[in-house]
Amino acid sequence: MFKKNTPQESRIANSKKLPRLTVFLGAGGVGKTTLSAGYAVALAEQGLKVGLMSIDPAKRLKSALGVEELPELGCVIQLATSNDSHADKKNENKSDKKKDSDNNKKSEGQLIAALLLVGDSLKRWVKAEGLSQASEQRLLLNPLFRAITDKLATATDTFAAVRMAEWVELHPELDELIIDTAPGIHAIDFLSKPEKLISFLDSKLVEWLKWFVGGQEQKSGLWQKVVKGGARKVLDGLAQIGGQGFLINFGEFLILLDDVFLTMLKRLETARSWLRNSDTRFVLVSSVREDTAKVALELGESLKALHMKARVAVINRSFPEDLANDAGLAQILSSQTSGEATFFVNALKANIQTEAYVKNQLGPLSEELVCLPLMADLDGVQNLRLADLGSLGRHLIARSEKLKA
Amino acid sequence: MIFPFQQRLLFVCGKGGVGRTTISCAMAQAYALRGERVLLVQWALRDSISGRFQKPPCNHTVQVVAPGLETMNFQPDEAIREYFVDHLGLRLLHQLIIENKHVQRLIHAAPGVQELFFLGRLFWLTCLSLPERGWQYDRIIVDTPATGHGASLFQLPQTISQFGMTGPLAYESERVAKLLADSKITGVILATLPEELPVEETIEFAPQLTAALGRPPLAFVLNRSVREACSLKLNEAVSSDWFQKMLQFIPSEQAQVGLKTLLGEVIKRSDYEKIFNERILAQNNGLEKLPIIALPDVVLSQPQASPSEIIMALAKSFGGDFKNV
Repeated sequence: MFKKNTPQESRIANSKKLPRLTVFLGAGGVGKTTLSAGYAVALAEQGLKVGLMSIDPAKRLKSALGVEELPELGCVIQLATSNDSHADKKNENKSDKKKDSDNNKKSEGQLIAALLLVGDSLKRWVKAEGLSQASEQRLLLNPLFRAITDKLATATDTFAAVRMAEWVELHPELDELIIDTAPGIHAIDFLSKPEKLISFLDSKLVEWLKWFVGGQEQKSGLWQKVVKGGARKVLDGLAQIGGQGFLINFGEFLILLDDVFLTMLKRLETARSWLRNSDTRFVLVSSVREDTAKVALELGESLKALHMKARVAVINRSFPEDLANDAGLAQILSSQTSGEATFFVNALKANIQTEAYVKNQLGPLSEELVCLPLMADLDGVQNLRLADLGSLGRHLIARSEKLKA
Repeated sequence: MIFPFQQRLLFVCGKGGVGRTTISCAMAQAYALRGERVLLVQWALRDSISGRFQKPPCNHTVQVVAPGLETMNFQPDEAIREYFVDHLGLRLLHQLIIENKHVQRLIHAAPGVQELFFLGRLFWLTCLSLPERGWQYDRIIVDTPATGHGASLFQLPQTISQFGMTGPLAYESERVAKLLADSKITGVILATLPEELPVEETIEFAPQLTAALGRPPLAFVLNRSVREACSLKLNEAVSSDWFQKMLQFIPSEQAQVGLKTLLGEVIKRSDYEKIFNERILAQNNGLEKLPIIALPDVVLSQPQASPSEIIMALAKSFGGDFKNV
């Protein structure tokens, strides 16, 4: 039912220059969302046109970006800053700051940030296909459509790649697209679902179900094939498991969304080749904790299985380097202590030991291992500001060859 | 006495990175120490529990990891087979329909299918293993898959009931819904961490979870508490004799900044624990009445503790009367 792109069409799709894609992956709580936002801000401040698609940003991050809520369709983030970042004051010299403020005045850079909210995206895509009002009404009442747009959180992973590919159409001028993914193994769904969804939408079952529900004009011709293919048996079996009513709802869902799925398939093809593009960079983020390193390891292996490769592994909030390199640290660790001092020394020892473990695990996983040390003023209780995000992003870029613009 | 919870099926929920797995292990161990037969269920790419007990990774088949404590790593395809073949006795249907490659494509693409079988398997383990097989677990602890997925899991049967299903799947989702709604059998624990984002997210997430579940969780469990280890404020700690003495070992200003930052990391946890307690108490949606169980950061007192020693220490800090100790 769904037309494949002709070879010519796909060549056109592929020859169009895609923005460079950077996908941040990692366990929950390692700072992916903040790091990806920081990276996006820093790139935009360097004069690039940057898109950022974020999942579930904390209030603190949204307010740093200067918005109450991030819209699903995206909004332009005001880059000009009135305040210098806390971290910049200590960590960067004056000439850098001057360059930044020059950038803000003259820069061609732009940051568009969007929230991944696939329910709203789906509703928007339905509108965009210009369905008849009656069809749209029926679709909005269809229980499967309602579940996918409102209730099923896992639909996010299923359709995220479609939304990702849509960026190219909405913002053809972009140089970079930064994607923040769901925590842990759900990120793998985001990477592997294009394949699975394409495979389902292309499958016979979709045709059978649509035939089952209606499509009068197709009935006679298809009937023959259907009988031959044993489709009747499968449909009867499914009806036995889930009931005819369900199959009808499902078939109606597929028919009403036919045009939407057609567009979706094209976007999925784009997403699939974009994710495999040699310019695309996967950044595995871990914190100084064994469990987050294990998640990074799993993600790295899953990437490999999908024929994608992690370019950079980041150990976020790692041990401060100046302290690690100071000979006095050994004396602190071996000094006689009691009470709170002992707890603190134990915390330091555990930290050092864990970091060594995390480095060991992550080292072989990617082409480059980047340690991003704790920054004194960035993690404070005070409000995070856009300048802090930019500073975080610049630190990341400064420490990574692969993440240079 | 907060612990033990009476519910046989306990979900440990919480945002990613708060230590849900550690808390699940500790709670399961605590019940096992009381002499119960406990199953700890995870659903992960790879088993991250057995290793903590020095056991090889397991999959859908349960493995004993400690006396009275078993674990399994849920695999959707296995659960689907168990449901149709072992439970319904429909081997042929499974072979012809479920294993049909087009149906498989549907199962792998459609959101919600795997989750339904996850809940279905938990229902079987909680309510059907005894009548069907003659044995059951005293307690089932679920290391619930992360994030927003957590809350939507509890709404799944309700969502599915609107699909117009009839037949076994409709029946399955109906009885799963009943199980989740039964506050005597099913309980939810909300895990959190005394750090800025987890505190913020837990306070946002708790009402969502309450709405999805139709009742509040049983308790909050706060992981890596430093309350017992350190109650100093940052400026008190920095000006303390012991810290000043440490600074003398590292005269360089950058190294000192580093050490202060690390100290701040530890101290901040005691600040955020206070903030969390205050903000929960200030709620007036019922959450203010929930107990908060603080589990200590074991590493601070036992830096050399192995993962299984950490679990044992945390299990004991749940309190209660342990028969097997």
